[in-house]
Amino acid sequence: MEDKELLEQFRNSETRLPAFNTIVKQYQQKIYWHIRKMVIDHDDADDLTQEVFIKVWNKLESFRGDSQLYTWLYRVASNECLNFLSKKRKTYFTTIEDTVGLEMENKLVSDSLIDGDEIQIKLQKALLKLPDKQRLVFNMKYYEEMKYEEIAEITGTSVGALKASYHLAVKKIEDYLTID
Amino acid sequence: MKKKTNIENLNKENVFKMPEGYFENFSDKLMQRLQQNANVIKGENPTENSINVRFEDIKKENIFIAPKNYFEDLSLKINTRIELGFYSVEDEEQEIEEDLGILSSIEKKNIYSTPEGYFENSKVEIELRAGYENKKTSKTKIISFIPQWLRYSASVAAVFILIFVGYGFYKNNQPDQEPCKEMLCNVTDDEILQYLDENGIGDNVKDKNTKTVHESLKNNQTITEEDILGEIDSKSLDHLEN
Repeated sequence: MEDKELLEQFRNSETRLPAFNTIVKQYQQKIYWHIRKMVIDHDDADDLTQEVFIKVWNKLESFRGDSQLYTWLYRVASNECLNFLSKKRKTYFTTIEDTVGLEMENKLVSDSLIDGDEIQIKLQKALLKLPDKQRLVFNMKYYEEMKYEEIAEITGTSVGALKASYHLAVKKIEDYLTID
Repeated sequence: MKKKTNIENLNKENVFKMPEGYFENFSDKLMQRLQQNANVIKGENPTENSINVRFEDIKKENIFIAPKNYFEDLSLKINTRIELGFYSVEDEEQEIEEDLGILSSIEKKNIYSTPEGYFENSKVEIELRAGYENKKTSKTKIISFIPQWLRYSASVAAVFILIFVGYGFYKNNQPDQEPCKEMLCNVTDDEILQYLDENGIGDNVKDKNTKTVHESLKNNQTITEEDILGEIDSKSLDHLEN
């Protein structure tokens, strides 16, 4: 179903719930994996995914449609991830060590819901060394193969800045992977 | 004699053979080998064993796993939360409706009432009271003409005076250890002269001290206690007592 049609059905009180369920079914996996790659832990990803769709339920009526629906959904999901990680870092309140990063790194090796070979785990560890926003951009470009223009719409950052960010991220990751 | 072989006349045929389908599988084998090298355990010479691994060589596989039937249940979970109103803490638009049970069947009616015109009058009363309270609690600044240091000095002086008076009172109330001194203080000069004449002490001066006292009295000179005590001997005292 097209975005426009979905939105019209959502705005109609009689068809609101079925339209919403369609949106959930259509985007739940994309949103979940987008979040999961950022927060690592399944339970955290689960909470945040639900939060995203609840926000969709509450705010979709006021969505003007100046961007694609999935762009808007990704923007909501990205902000949820960044806010979640920011709050978590503030809770630990340490500048000496990245406690949150270390915790997520440990989950990569101990979590039963993670399956990858050594180099893939190492790549994830390298990603955890990046700033959260840079990691977000990298994931969207590398794993989800999104265009810079789409990422720019989601993050509100210019295409040029995104290209520079991605290039730097690649450099840092390669340096990390080279270290034994 | 052997004839020299001209290599240019030889058939340029490749004599070496290779396994069937070698080149078709070559690129896959090469990639596998590259990946295996990246996973080799570091030996004594790590630079020889490790290679610069580029992330483009790493398979873009999703290493994260979702629990079984997670996505089938996700829609249901989300819908349940929306129906029950279990939103995030930041969401203030929706209120959580609780199951009130028997309370939901009781009409929400205010059973209490107030006297007629209560709220109209109470407003005026409150304002008046607020005004009165403001006056009562208004703080007026008192300006003293007496410097603060002077006031402190007066307090200290008063304390000292009290101590001094108290000490004096204490001293005055102490019992006198020498009754003779007190008795002598109360005796006038004329009485002393009379006594001396009556007892014949004044004319027959045998004691230097007595003569000194008598002469002192006549001459109105200052008589010391030692002079008087020296004149009154034990016999005289015994006589008086008898």
